[in-house]
Amino acid sequence: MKVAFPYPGYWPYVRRGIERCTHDLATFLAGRGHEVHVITSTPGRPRTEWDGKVKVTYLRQVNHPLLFKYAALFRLAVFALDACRVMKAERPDVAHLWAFSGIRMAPIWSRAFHVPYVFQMSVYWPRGLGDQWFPEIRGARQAIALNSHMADAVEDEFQMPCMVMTPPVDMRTFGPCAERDLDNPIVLYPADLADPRKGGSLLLRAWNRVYRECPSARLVLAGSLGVAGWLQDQAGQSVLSKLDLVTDPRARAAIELRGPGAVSSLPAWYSRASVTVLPSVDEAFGMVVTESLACGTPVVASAHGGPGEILTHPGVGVTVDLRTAADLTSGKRASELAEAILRGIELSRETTTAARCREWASQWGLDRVGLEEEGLLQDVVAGGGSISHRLPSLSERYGGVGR
Amino acid sequence: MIGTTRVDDAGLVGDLLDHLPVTDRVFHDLRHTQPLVETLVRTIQGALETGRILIVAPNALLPLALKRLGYRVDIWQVPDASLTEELEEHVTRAGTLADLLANPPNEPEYDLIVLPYVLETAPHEPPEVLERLRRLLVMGGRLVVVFRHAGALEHRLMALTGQPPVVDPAIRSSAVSYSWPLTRPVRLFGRDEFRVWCRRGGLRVLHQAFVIDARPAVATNAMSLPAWLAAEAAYAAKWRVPALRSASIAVVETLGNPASTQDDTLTELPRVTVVLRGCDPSRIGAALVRLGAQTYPRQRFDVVVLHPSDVKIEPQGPSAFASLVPCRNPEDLEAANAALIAATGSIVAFTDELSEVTRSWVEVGAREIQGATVAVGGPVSVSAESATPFLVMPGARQLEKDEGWFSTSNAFFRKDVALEAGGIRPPAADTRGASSWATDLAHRLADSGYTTRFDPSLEVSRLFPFIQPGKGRRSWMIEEFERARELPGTVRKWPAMRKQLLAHGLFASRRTMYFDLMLAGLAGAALRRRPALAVLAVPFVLSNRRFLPFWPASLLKPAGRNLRGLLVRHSIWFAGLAVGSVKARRVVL
Repeated sequence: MKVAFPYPGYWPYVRRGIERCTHDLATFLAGRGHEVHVITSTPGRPRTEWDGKVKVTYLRQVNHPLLFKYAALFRLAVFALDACRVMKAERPDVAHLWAFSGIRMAPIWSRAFHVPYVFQMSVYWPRGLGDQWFPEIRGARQAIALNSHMADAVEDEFQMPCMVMTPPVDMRTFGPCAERDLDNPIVLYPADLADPRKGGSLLLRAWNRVYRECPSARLVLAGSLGVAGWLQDQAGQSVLSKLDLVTDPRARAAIELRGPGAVSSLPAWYSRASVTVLPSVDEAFGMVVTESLACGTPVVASAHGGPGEILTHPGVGVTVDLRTAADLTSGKRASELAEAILRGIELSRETTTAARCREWASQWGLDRVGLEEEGLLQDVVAGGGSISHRLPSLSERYGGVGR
Repeated sequence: MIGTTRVDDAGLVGDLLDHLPVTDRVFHDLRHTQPLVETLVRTIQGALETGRILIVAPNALLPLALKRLGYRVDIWQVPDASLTEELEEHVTRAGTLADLLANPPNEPEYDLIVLPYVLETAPHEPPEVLERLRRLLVMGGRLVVVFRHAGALEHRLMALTGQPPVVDPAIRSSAVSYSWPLTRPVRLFGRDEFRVWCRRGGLRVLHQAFVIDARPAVATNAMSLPAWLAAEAAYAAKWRVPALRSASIAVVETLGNPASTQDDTLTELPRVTVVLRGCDPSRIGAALVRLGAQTYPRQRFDVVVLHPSDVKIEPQGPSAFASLVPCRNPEDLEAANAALIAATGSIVAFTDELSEVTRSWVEVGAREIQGATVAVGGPVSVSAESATPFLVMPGARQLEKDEGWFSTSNAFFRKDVALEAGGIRPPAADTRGASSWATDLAHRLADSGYTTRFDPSLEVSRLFPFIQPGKGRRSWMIEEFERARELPGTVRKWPAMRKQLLAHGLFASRRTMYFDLMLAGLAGAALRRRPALAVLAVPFVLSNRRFLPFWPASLLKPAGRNLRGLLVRHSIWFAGLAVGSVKARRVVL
C-alpha cells in the first residue's frame, strides 16, 4: 500500500502533536512493509530524504515577513498546490490529511486522480464555520477525530460519520530513563511557549503558590516558541513576556527556560520531572500527556478535551476544570492548578505511580494505534467508497477511556 | 585574511543548517545570523590550518561548522544559549560570562579562541578579559574577536533619536535568541579603542574588518511594509558603507614577548641605561653632569659613553658613574647597536653630547615605557647657538611635534623587544642610516604590533652646529648628502610617515619646496625665454630674507656669502634627494 501524509510541518522543524503523530504513524506503517511518503516543507533547501524507511519530500517554504503580516495563509496555499503536484506524480493508494494539511481542493483532486483520502480533525473550529475552514472533509472517505467530544462535533456539524482515533505514543522511545530527584521536584511545561491556548500564563500565576509551598521545586519551560509564521510573540502573549506574573523574585529565579531541546532528550526530561503540566483549553489530545505517562511521570491537565479523556484514573494525574479561555485568566483556576501541581508532586513520590502511569499510557501505544491506522487505510483502499459506519474509539475497544 | 575563501564554506554552513535537527524557529534564528558564521569560518580558516579552538558563548552553527572542517572545538557555554546535543560533549565549562571569565584556567592549550559578542557584554574590563584569555593561547596562538562597534548604523540612529545605545540593565526583556546568546552590551567601543586594549593585553591586531552579521530580517517574523522597507534600507546601507555595519571582526595574535608586557605591574622602577654619544670631553662632561642631576634614582640608571678611541676621557667627577666605551665612530650604527646589546638596563635611552636633557628626562622616558609601549621619542628644540638657516633635513632640524620621526638624540627603547626586532641596523641596504636608525627601529616595533609614542614632555634642547665637533670643514657636505639620500628610502619603507614628515607629502621641507620652485621657475624662464617665470623664486627669497639682507649696501657681501652657502646646501640636498629617490623609487624633493 502506498500511503501519503501531506502536512506542511514535520520533524525536526516543528515539534508539536501532529508532526509527532505523523512521524510515528509513518514509521510504523513503513515498518509494516508499506510505502510511506511524507510530503512536507522546509525552511531550508527543498530536498527528498529518507527517515528510516519513510520517504520524506521537503518542499520549499514561502517565507517572507510581509507575507506573515498580510497573508499568513499564503504559505499554506503554496504548500497545498506543491503537495498535490507531488502526489499526482506519486499516485499514492491513499492519503492521510490533517486539519491543517491545507489541501482545500482535495475533494476535486481526489476525484480527478482517483486517490482516496482520510481526514483527521485535529483542532477545534468555530462552530458553524466548519465548511469554510475545512471544505476538504466533505470528500474524505473517512473523517476521524482525536477525541469523542470532537467526533460528536464533526458528526453534528458536517452530518457525516466520524470515528475516534487517538495519536499513538511510542512506548519504546518514551520510557523511564533517568533518575527523579524527589526532594527537588521538577515541574515540566513542555507546551509551546507562544501559544496562549496552552495555559502558560495560568501556570505562571499558579507557580507563585507552588513555589511558596514547595520552595525546592523548579519550573522548567521546555516547549518551543511558536510554529514559524503562525504563532509568534507579537502581542506579548508568550510565556516569556508574562514572567512578571511570578511576583516572588525567588520563584522567578526557580524558573528555567530550557528551550525545545533535541528529540532524543525528551524522554529524559519527562523522566526527571515530578509532574508534567499542560493547563490548556481546547486541547484535542495532548501528546505530551501520553508521552509523560509513558515515561512514568504523572500529569496535571484540563479535565476536558483530549487530556480529560486520558486522565480518567486518579493515580496517573490530576485534572483541573479548564474549559474556556476565560479560565486561563481566572485566579480561582490558578489556585486550583497550584493545588493540582502540588498533588501531582505528591503523586510522583508514591512508589507505584511511575509503573501505573506507564501501564496507563500503553493504551495509546504505537503498536495498537498503528494497527488501527493500517486497518483503516486498508479499508479505504479496498472499499473505495465512504465508510458509513462509525468505528469505536481505541479507548472503547481496549477499555481504557470511554466515549 | 578576513573575507578570503578556501572552501565552499557558504555551502558548508547552509548544508549544515539544512540538516540540523532543530525547530523552525531555531532554524530561522540561525539562518538570520548565518552571514557572521560564514565570515567567522572563513576568518578562522585563514588564521589556523588545524588545531584546537575554544569558542566562548557560541551559537549552534559555528562549532558544528568548525567540527566539520576538522578542528578540535571546546565550548564555554553560557545560560540561555542553545546548542545541539551533538555539541554537549564539547562543553568544557559552563556558567555566566562573569564566572567563566573571572577564573579561566592558566594552561596554554588553544591555538585559537573565538569571542563572539563577548567583550561588550562581559562584566570585566576588556583588557582584563583579553589578558586572561591570552594566557590560554599557545605560542603564536590567535584570538578572533567579534564585537558590535560603536559606529554601527543602529547606534547612530539611536543617538539621532535620543535613545541610549546601551540599554539600562535593569530593564527586563522577554526577547529570546536561538542563535548567539542574548546578552546585553554593557559598553560600546570602536576599533581604535579595541586596538589599544589589545596592546595593553599583550596582543596585536593583525586584521580588522567591518562585517555584516545578519540578514535584514528573520524570514518568519511578520513585519509591516514600512518596517520591512526600513530593514532592507538599513541592510543596503550597510553593504554600501562598511563603517555602518553592525559588527567588527578582528584577528589578534599574541606579541612575541608577552611576559614582558606585564612590566607595568612591577612595583620596582625599571633599570635604565643611557647611551651618550660624544667626541668632545668637555661636552661629554657637561652632559654627564646633567645626567647626574636627574630626578630618576641614581641606582636605577647608568650611563654608557660612546666616544672615539683616540679621545681621552678622564673617569672623574661626573664621569665616575658612567662606563666609557671607546669605539671607532660613536655615530656609527654598529657602536649604537653594541651599546644596546651591552646595556644592563631593561630600558635603553639614546642621546648625545650636543643635547641638553631636562632634569626629569630619564624619569619621563622610563615612565612612558610600560605595557605594550616599547619606544618613546620626544621633541628636539634648537638651542640658540645652532646654525638655524641651514637646518632642513629630518634629523638635523627642530622636532616639535610627532612627525613619525624618532631623533637619535632623544629616544627610549625597551631593550628586549628592540633586540627581538633586530636591534639597530641600517634601515635600507644602500644607506648608512646614521640619522634614521632610531626612526627605523621604532617603526619596526610598531609594525610588530607594539606601541610607540611621541611624548611632548620628553624634551631635549640640542645644538645643531655648523660643523660637527671633531670633524673636518667639509665633512658636513657628506653628512648632509647622506641625510638627504636616506630620506626617500625611509619614506618608502614606512609610508605612513609620508604625510607627517614631508611637506605636502613630497618635499623634505618647505625650504626645499621653495628651492625646487625657484629652480623650476628659473629653468622655465631660461628655457622658454619667459622672464615672468622667475617670479617663482620669490617664495625662496622671502623665506630666507633674514639671511639675505641686500640693503643697505654694506650688507651685500655677507648676504652674498649667505646666498652662496644656501645655494650650496640646497644643491647638496637636491642631489642627495635625487639620488635617494632614484634608488628608493620614491620621489622626495
